[in-house]
Amino acid sequence: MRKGARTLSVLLLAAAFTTGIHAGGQQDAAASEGPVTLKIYAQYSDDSEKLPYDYAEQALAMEMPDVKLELDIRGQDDDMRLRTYAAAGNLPDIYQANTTIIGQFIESGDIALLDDYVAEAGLTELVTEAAIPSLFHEDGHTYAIPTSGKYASAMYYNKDLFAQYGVKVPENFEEMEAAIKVFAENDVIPLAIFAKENWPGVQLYDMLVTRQQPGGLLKIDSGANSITEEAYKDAAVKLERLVDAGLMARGAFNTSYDEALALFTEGQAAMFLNGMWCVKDLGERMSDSVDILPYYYPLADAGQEGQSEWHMSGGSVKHDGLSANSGSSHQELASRVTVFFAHKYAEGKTVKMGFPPLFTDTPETEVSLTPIHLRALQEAVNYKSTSGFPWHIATPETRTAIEDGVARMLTGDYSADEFIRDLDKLID
Amino acid sequence: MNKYFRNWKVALVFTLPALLVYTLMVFYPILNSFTKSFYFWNGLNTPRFAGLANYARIFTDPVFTTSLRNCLIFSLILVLVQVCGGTLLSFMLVDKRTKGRIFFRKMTFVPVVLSTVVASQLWKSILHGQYGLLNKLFEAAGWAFRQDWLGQDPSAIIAVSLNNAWQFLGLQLLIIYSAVRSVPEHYLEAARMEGASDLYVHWKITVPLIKETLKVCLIIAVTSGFKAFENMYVMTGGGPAKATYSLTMMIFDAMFRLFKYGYGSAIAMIILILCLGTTVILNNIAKERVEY
Repeated sequence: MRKGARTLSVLLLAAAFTTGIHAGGQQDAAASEGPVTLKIYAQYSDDSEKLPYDYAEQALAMEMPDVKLELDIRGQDDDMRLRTYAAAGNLPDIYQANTTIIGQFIESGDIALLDDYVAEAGLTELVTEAAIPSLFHEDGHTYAIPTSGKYASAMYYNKDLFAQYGVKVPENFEEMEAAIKVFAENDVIPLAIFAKENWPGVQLYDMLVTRQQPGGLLKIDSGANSITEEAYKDAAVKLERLVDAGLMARGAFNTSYDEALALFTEGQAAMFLNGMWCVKDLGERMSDSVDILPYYYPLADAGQEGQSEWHMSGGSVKHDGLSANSGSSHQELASRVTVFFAHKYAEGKTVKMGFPPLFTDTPETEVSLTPIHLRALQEAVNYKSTSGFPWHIATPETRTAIEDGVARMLTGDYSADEFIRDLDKLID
Repeated sequence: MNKYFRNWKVALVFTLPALLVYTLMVFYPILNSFTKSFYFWNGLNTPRFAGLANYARIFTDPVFTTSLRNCLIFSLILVLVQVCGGTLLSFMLVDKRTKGRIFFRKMTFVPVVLSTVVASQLWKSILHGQYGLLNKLFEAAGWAFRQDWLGQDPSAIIAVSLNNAWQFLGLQLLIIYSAVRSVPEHYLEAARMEGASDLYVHWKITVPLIKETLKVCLIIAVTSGFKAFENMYVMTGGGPAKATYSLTMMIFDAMFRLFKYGYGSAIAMIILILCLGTTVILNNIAKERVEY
């Protein structure tokens, strides 16, 4: 009897132990399917970044309720932090990558291939025709999902100031040069340029180049064109002339974006140079007092204006956007979330900010559009070609050489000939 | 000798932690930079041996000349303001006849406790070409002498250097002032009784006696010029068009804009050589001891 009881208790114990193990196993499985937190490194500094991000995060919460995102705000630091993360093996699960980063991370094996996830989400069919190239790297694969439609750059002007000083709104280079002279003589800043950053100066040079050479500086980077070609030389000469006419304000090299924007919106500067992403902000701040200059960049020779119309500076369709870390412990999930989140982020940019749509399934914008904003959106369909912004130049040496050369030209102590000569040497 | 051998283990116990920390925090990074300076490396890929190519590149890089010039200007201004100016101020502050000397001594130390970023932002807003206080003052006074202080060469590098000189004057002053106060008063009294002027007395007696302190201050000032970074980074970003670049900004540029860590390491080695060379030279110049 005692032996039977002992056997029974051993059996019960074994059964309980086995059940315990089994229950434990079930608990582990449940845990692995439970909430997962993914680290994302993305922009989140102003409304144009915060609103789309929040929109995408909400959509993600509905689609994948168990996935939480931990945001690490991307700095304006030429991707130094991202590189440091990569070098230290501490790359976030999802991160924003530009063309240069994609190239380098492919080499170092830090970026996940997203081909299957793009196909699964049907993004190739959903992306607008003009933006199709932005979905693929030069090797034909997808490593990043773009998060916004095409942005060109533009030159904006303060209508009131032009009227006040009786200056004709320029339509070509000669008229632009004359307008700059009038404003400079009257102690009005002709062009508010935030030269503390390198890119606006380069963009101005690209605007001049694209009046004769569609594709602009990106063609130097790809090796298709040489800096010694006539379009680039002529653009340098024209840039030198604009600087001599008094284009730059005192302190322009120490002027930040916010300061330049304030100079323009408060009526201290007649013109402003920036990407089209600022049309919403400009329209809201200046209402009917602001507009885009004729031809977007009235920098072609007189009589040649029409030939270069809709050949835009900026608006690159190069491959960049949100990428997934190939070394993530949740690599498959991170890749899937990257594709979904980028899609919704791009959607949020249209819905919440009124930016041009990137995907055809994008709902209508909730923004009440100001006249300048409406114009920018409606005219986006007319673009015949785009170039790029300096961050689309994939070769760091080329980008740095152009940025430094243009900055020197803007000081007025460096001639167009020196610029072309030195750049030719450096880019070689 | 036996005593030494008996105690060397104890000495080791006391010095080893410091030695380990020093090796880890100073010697290893220097050695690592030295090794990397012979490689092409973008920080992510496998380094490729480059021989002396990175060093050769430095001497053909036009920015190197500008950067070296700027470092020398920076050093010179620090020496003039902090060491020479600090010495003269110390003479004034030890003189009991100077009114408000305690207040002045404390005030010169206030900028030292500020962060360099704060001090640089402050001077940037004073010197900004468009809305800076200095230009506004000129404007209010009806003078047409408005300048883009931070937007042209050489006023930009001079302004940046003066900012640093102003901020750390208090620190150098404190060191020199302590040394001046340690000079026995009766040495000076004797000379004064002979009819020597205050300045002459300090020149002939105080300066030779505080030579060791001045040497240290001089080394700090000169090497600070070679290591200058924060002031130009905040005030001008190295611009306009690299006119305010320093050697450390070249490292920053090489590593974080061009992604050439080998090249950046080679520049770091050049800075190390310059700093060590300066220290050795200044130590040799001021080797003679003065005794009264």
